[in-house]
Formats: sequence, C-alpha cells, structure tokens
Amino acid sequence: MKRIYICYLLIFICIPQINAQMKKMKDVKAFNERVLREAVSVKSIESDFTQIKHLDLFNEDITSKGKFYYRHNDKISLDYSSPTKYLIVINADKLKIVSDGKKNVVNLKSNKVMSEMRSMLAACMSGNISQISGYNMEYFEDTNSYLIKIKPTNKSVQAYISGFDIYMDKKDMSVSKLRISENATDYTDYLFQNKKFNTLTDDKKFSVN
Amino acid sequence: MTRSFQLISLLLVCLTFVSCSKNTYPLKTGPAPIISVGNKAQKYNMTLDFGGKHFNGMLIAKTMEDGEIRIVASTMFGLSLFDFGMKGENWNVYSCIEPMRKDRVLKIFETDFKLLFLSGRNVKKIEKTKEYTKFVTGGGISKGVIYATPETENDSEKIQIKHSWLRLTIGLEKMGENNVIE
Repeated sequence: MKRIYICYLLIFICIPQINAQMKKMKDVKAFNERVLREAVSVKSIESDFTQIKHLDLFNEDITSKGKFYYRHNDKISLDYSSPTKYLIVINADKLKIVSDGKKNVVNLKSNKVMSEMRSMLAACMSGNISQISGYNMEYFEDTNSYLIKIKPTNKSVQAYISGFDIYMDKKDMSVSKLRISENATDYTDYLFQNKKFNTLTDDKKFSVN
Repeated sequence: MTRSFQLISLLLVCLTFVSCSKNTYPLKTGPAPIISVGNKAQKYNMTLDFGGKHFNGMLIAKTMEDGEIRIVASTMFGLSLFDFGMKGENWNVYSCIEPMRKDRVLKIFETDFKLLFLSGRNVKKIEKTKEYTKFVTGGGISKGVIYATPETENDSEKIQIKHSWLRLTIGLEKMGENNVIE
C-alpha cells in the first residue's frame, strides 16, 4: 500500500515538471510535414558532439567528445577524439569500428536487431524521423524545441534500449540532443554543436573499406 | 573410420587426464589486490579482443557503501556491456549482454576480476620483471596469463589478461580525472 502511495506521489510530482517544460505538440501533422521537407533539403550534416553517459549506480557521468558526420540517407560517422581515438562508421548495411589502429567491419544485414538500430540511429541523429515506423512515438514542444519520445515495441530492441528522446531545434529542425535510455535510470546523451549543413560533397568520411 | 576412432579415443584420454589432473596453486597474489578500488569510481579504457575481433570501451569500478565491488563496462558508444558485483567470494551478474551471457564466459570474467580486485588469490606462477608482474592462472583451455604494470609517477596502471586458447585478451588502462588516459 505504501508503495502505491509513493508511486502516486512520484507521478504527481513528475508530470507537472514535464509539462512545465514541454507540452504535448499541438499540430503533429504540420510537424511531420516540416520534417519531410527538411529531410529533402538536408543532404549532409557535420558537427561537434559531446557524449555523456550517465551511470546512476555510481552517480557518475562519463564524457566523450568528437566529430559527427551524416550524409543522406544512411551514412553516419562518429569520430571520437577524447578520451581516446575511436571511429564508428555506418554506411548502408556496413558498420566499421576503428580503435587502436585496428579495423573491424561488420555486416548488419544478417542481424535484424543491429540493422534496426542502424536505421534508428540514422533517423535520430539526422532528424529524419519520417523514416521511423513500428515504434511508439509521443510529440512535445516548448518555445524553442520539439521533443519526440520514441519507445521500441520490439522485445529484442527493448533488451538493449528502453527509449530514444530526440530534441530538435525549431529554427532549423536539426537535432540538438539525443538521449538513448537503456532503462529508467541509465542513459547516454549526445549533444550536437556547431552544426554545418550540406558541406560534405563526397563519401570519404564514410568509407567502410 | 578406425583411424578416426583412435584419434577420438586419444583425445578423450587426454581430456580425461587434463580434467582429472590436480590443479595446484602453490602461490598467492599479494595482501593488496592488483587493482585497489575505493569508494570513488575508478575508470579504465578497456580493449577486448575476442575471436579475431577488436572492441573498445570503458570499465568503471567502485566499492559501494555495503562493501560490494561493482564493475560496469560499456562500449565507447555508451551502451552497457555488463554489470558485475563481488563481495568476498560472492559473485553477482546484474546484467550482461546476450553474446557474453554464457556460463563459460561469465566464469572466466569471475575468475579474472576476482584475481584483479581481491587480495590473496591462488595462482600457479608469479613472475616479476622491471616492467610488469606476470600471473598465471588455471590450466588447459581456461589458462590465463595476467600482466600487471603498476602505477608509477610516469606510467599508468595497465593490465592485460590473455586467454590464448580462447583467443580472448582484455586490456585495461587507467584513466585520469578528466577521462584521459594518463
């Protein structure tokens, strides 16, 4: 009984706080139309990124930094510069990881979960969320940002990720922050800064060979 | 056919001898653990070489208020790999991603991490050089060789655990306050 009271208390404390910052989006249809328009005009993105992994158990944040590159419609590169050099490239069905000068290329086609994760990451990091289907989506907004809360319905994906929160800048519809939650308390934030659009003219950054 | 049968028989005899042979552990690691973990999270850059593949991530260890040592590892991208806990001989697997959630793999992690984070562990061989201390554990397929480079003024704490038979190598390199390899 005591637990139920605590749950109620938490719900009543938390809900007004979310509402105070973000409200349910008024016009989801108009938002989706704008997403589609932007997806056509944005051919590439390059930016700095800061990754903050929050470990609730240790009350600890682990920060990594690097460069983010995206090219329409399924090419992503995360080039870490700190705490150590590390490179992740996703190009169509291939995933390349380079660490300590050693290269590891994986074909995602054979792994359904990894393949789905690849599509989700491309959509979440580029902001082209029109590609997303088969997930529960909720839409919120405030004066400056949109927030799209995405929950996987596939149990295989749920084993790794409980949800994606995409924060989009209303000015240019670019993703300013992505939160990937593993459970209720542990998550990783990716903050994208100094964004440049349509500056990449070739696929050099996305080589998987 | 007869040749195959002979080969299988020979293999079985060898395996029987290996499994029945007495595992002797004449030596013990020191009174202090190879890695001393306090109540402040200690971070390590972690490399994992398994079956010809190379992975990189981070390992964080901390002694909790109840005395349990928790060891959490994640990929560089931020996704969790495993969360283990040990309090004396008690070993807990709080979480572990599917490809590694196999009894044999978990047992190797338990043995290796107990050797690193607990004191007075049984080992077969200890070899000290200027650069590192080498510990040899187990036998046969689960044989492990651990190289520990102690922390000095100019050098960071480095650990390498090698299981040659399993083609598994784990490397740990201590990180500084700002997540920088020292």
